[in-house]
Amino acid sequence: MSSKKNNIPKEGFKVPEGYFEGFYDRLQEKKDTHFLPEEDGFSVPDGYFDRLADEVMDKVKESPKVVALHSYRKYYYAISGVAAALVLFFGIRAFLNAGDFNLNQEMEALASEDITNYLSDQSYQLDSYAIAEVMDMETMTVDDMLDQPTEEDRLFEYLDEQIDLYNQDILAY
Amino acid sequence: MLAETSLLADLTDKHKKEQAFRQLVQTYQERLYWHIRRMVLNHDDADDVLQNTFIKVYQNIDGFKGDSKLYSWMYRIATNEALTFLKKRSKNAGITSEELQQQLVNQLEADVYFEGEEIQLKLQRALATLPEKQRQVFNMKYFDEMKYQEMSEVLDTSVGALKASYHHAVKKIEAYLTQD
Repeated sequence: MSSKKNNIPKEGFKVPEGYFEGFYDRLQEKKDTHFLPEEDGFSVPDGYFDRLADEVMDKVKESPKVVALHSYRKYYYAISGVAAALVLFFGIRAFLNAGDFNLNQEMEALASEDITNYLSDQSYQLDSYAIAEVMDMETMTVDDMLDQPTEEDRLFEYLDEQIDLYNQDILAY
Repeated sequence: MLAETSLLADLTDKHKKEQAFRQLVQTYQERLYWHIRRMVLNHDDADDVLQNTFIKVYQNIDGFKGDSKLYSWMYRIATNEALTFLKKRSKNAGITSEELQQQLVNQLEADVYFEGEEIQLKLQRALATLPEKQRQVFNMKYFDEMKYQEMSEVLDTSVGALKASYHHAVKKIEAYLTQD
């Protein structure tokens, strides 16, 4: 056997960047996982991946159009503000009524607690996708998106309304 | 990278968007499917989550800023969709996410799209005992064969933390599989 034959030429061969640097770690990982099965055992129906693109395209055509998400940021804040105001309003009512127990008041307190829990539990779903999904793009006009009052204005307006209603309730007693 | 740049350009061109999107789905459907499937375990659920993932990608592609790779971005959406799905599922059933994992693994035995043998089933039982993040890291590394750097982009976690997480996961799985 000639020495030339044993001499593997380097020219023309390449390895991925960082291949030798990570080689030992990869070898170690392989050694550490020798007891694991190579396959996970999951399968899919025949032809599933052949049909998938068509199914997705059909659904995409059915789904409502969405415009740039950042336009809705102000709505997100407004909804969060209104939700916070609701919690505050029901919380104050429950607190003021706390000394005078009857079934209705207990139900009110329960309702406010439920609302608080509901909002707390649901808050993670109020992402921009969720807000974007409930926007009715058919009826919304450009004016709806421009010159909207700030979230503070909305909050104060809402609280004013609620305080008026609350005053009316007190006067009615 | 050039292909991704060109695909992205077509996706934001309204005349080419549909064709480019079809190409995107065909390119990434299998990788995303298996990522989701290993999280939700059941085929029908994986199919629903995958389709929702692609719909959200389509609806939000104009807002993709290109700060990360397109694939990492889609992987993140898929991960969030699968996690949201699992949270809703456990909440509706009134059980914890750990109990849900056990329930999903128990259903595998009767699943026609699970062809695993005893060792694969046992591996799924071991995975169900891991914290959510460790399970994800293990699946992404061991089955999806992702590099730590890619995982770091998707999970927004340092490479060092991912390596530690994977190491702990492997040790716990080994202990579970060899306990009998």
